[in-house]
Amino acid sequence: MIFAEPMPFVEAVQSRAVRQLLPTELRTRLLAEIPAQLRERAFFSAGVENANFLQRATDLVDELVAGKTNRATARTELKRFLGSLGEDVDETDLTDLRSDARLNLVLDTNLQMAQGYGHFIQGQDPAVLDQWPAQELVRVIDAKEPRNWPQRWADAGGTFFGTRMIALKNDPIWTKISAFGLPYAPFDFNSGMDLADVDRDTAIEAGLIDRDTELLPQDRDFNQDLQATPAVREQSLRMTLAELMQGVATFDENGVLRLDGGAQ
Amino acid sequence: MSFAVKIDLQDGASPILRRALDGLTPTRINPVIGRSATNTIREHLFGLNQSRPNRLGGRRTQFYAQAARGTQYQVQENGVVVSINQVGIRQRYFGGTIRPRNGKKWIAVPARSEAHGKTPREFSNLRFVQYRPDLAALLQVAGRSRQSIDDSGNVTGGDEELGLVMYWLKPFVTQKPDPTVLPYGELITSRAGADAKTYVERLWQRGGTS
Repeated sequence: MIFAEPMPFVEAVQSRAVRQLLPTELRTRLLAEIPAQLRERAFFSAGVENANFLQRATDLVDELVAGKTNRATARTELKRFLGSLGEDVDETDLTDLRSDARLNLVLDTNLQMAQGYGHFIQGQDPAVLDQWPAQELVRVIDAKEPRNWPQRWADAGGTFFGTRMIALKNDPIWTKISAFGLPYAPFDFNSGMDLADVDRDTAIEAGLIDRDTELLPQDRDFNQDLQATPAVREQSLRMTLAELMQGVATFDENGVLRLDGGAQ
Repeated sequence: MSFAVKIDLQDGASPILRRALDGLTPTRINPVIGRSATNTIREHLFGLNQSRPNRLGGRRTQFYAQAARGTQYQVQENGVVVSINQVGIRQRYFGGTIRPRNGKKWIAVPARSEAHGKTPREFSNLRFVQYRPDLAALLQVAGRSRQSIDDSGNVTGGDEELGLVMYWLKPFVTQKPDPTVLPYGELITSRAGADAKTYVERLWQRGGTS
């Protein structure tokens, strides 16, 4: 039976709800040093200090997650917000917030992270985890210049089954191969890699598990966060970050995370 | 618009599977059915993404891959619903007529690869030309003619010269349905049935389905 209306992707929506705005002048390299548990609770973009822009962007990502808008429309809306509609910019310049490449990156990465988390947490349902205890890293989008994922897999201590990159869902390899330190896709910016479930029979054949071992489901503790109000979550994120970044960065009076002693 | 598919195994289930399904609480088995259907649809959509580049040949929007990533299941009281949360996927499946909304008069259809995946508002140099009551276009400004240079060295005058059609504008667009956007319903349910069966059999082998 086919319905006209989609169902909300509840788990993806939850991962959006825990994120608090984090305007910052920090660039990607320093932002990557913030622990993953904090980064997945913040909505930021490297060097973006404008909280109003971040708010508009996060609202549009929510609409993308809900299947209520498309990327071109969302990007156009952000350009309108920035006052850059129709401006001549280098559309491939990732450092220019007005470019297609940068706005697509903001929208795609956040959308795919919400969906990746949703797929991850649905895969951690005890029955689903029992039936599909493993997963495979697969290329789903061809790239002109593909990253060397087999090398990254090997460097992270991954085992190959022929050429296949398969591991149990709760293996630490998934966070190790991720540029974001997270156990779910996407594993890097603009990545064409994703995950495919591997059933127990195949996992047994690969020697990863036996018939009776039950894996312990994992989560990212978002439910606990969602018990608190957004204001409490925001305060908690800022306090933790302020403590963690002591001597490196500080929140200014407008709530922008700034490098101590000037920009990088 | 996005859309959702309800998976019902009870009608076509084998006697063994039916007994197994009856012996399990829905909360236990429905996630397996939902995940199985999600996996089948994801695999199909990722496959479409590889095999169907946009016909204009421009930069790809990865529409079907994004649809695959937006595929998910939700367990309900009376079954499982698999939903594809991606704008445009329902239109491709069902087809039908699209009309302008929000007070607009035209539907913009990309005519060139540069326009694919972009909205007309993202271009600064498009001009409206109407050919018929039911057909217009947005043309790119190619340059100016009859320019002159004044005493200060500034370029003045000249008419705009219009170049390539970037978008065709139509009062409505009718698309044919494309049922191949989804895998066959039988494939989804047979795989979900097989996955549910192996799951239940394993529970029995372990000594119970409680």
